[in-house]
Amino acid sequence: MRSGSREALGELYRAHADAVFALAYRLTGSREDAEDVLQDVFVGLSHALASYTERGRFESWLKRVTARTALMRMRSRRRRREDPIDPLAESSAVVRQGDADAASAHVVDRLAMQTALGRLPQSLRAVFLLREVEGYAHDEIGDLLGISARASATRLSRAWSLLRKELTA
Amino acid sequence: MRHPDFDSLVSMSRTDTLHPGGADHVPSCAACAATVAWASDIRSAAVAATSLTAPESTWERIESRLDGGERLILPVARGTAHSRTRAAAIAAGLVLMASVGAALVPQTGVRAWIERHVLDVAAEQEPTEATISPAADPSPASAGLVLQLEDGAMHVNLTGAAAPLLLRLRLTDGPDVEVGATGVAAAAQFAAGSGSLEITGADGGEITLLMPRSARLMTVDIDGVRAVELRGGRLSVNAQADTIGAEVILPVR
Repeated sequence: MRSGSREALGELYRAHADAVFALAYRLTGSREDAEDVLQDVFVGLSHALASYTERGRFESWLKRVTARTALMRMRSRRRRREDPIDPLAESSAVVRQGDADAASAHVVDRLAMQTALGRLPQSLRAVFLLREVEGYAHDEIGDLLGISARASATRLSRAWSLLRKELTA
Repeated sequence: MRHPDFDSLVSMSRTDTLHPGGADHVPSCAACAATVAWASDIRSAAVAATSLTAPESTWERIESRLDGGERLILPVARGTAHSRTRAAAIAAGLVLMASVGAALVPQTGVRAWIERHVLDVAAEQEPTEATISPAADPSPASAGLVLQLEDGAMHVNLTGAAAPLLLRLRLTDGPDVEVGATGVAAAAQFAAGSGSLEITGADGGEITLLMPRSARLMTVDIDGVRAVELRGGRLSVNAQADTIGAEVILPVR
């Protein structure tokens, strides 16, 4: 892959594209932006791999690069408003549950959840999704977002409180 | 026994976290047990709500960009910023003071002095290691690149720039010049040379320049006229400019 083989890049894409896309979507709240991030990550991956030390898991490294790329994209766009989770996702999101009954049982939850996530301020939503969905620790989130681990924990607490109000009202 | 607080109950719903004090109380308390279960459900719902599959056509677009010779530098390095430093906060205060001062003394020598000398911006720290290049889309909504200083210097020339273009300037602690363009400006021509960048045909939208504080010299000329000079960490603006936070904004007229 480091030699730039297109075939190898394709293999990496097939293995990791969904995870990269989902993470980018979680951070940008937009399918369009998430696709742009996915493209950017794999366009730049051959060059970026030169800095991959193979000390950690490749997927973890790739996700960190993806998160930084998504965050840089958001900064460069300098969005002043809070971006809701893309409503298009309601019709296209894939519920990865085991069987049809389980999936349908989650549909209402998923739609309500999307609405609630969309109402969270972006700064809280990013922390919530990085911690609770992606499983990052607060110091890792702080590293990605340029905030302290304590600030990350505070934002997470606020996000949970807002979700509780939104979803139990 | 007292009920654990909400954050503690949320924490108990995680599988990767050591449970805080009060965990022994939960099995015997229906209300607390319900909150823990609710938090777990919310987490599952959040996963389901944001788990998307990559669009089918994306790989083709990636190949198209690679075939076009596009080279992109991804932000692989650790970001420079944690929370804002005290120095940055002080500097932001100075910028605010400068902008307020400039606003209070319009069209005077004091204003000119402020604009030329006091806008010594210690910007909000931003990671600067990313490059977002123009996408394959013929009319990209955003574009950008990262340039290395040449012998500590960088000269940016805007040719054919016209209103309603906005030029946004920020100092960073990073080593490179980062250029971003949005809107109409994203469709301008960007030609990077050794220590120089020519931007042609930006007649709308916004161009953002993140300027490394450590640059020996960085200049921005608009149609041959020196508008901005960064020398030794001091930013001089020789044009009508506004400040918002740590950002200097020049509307191109």
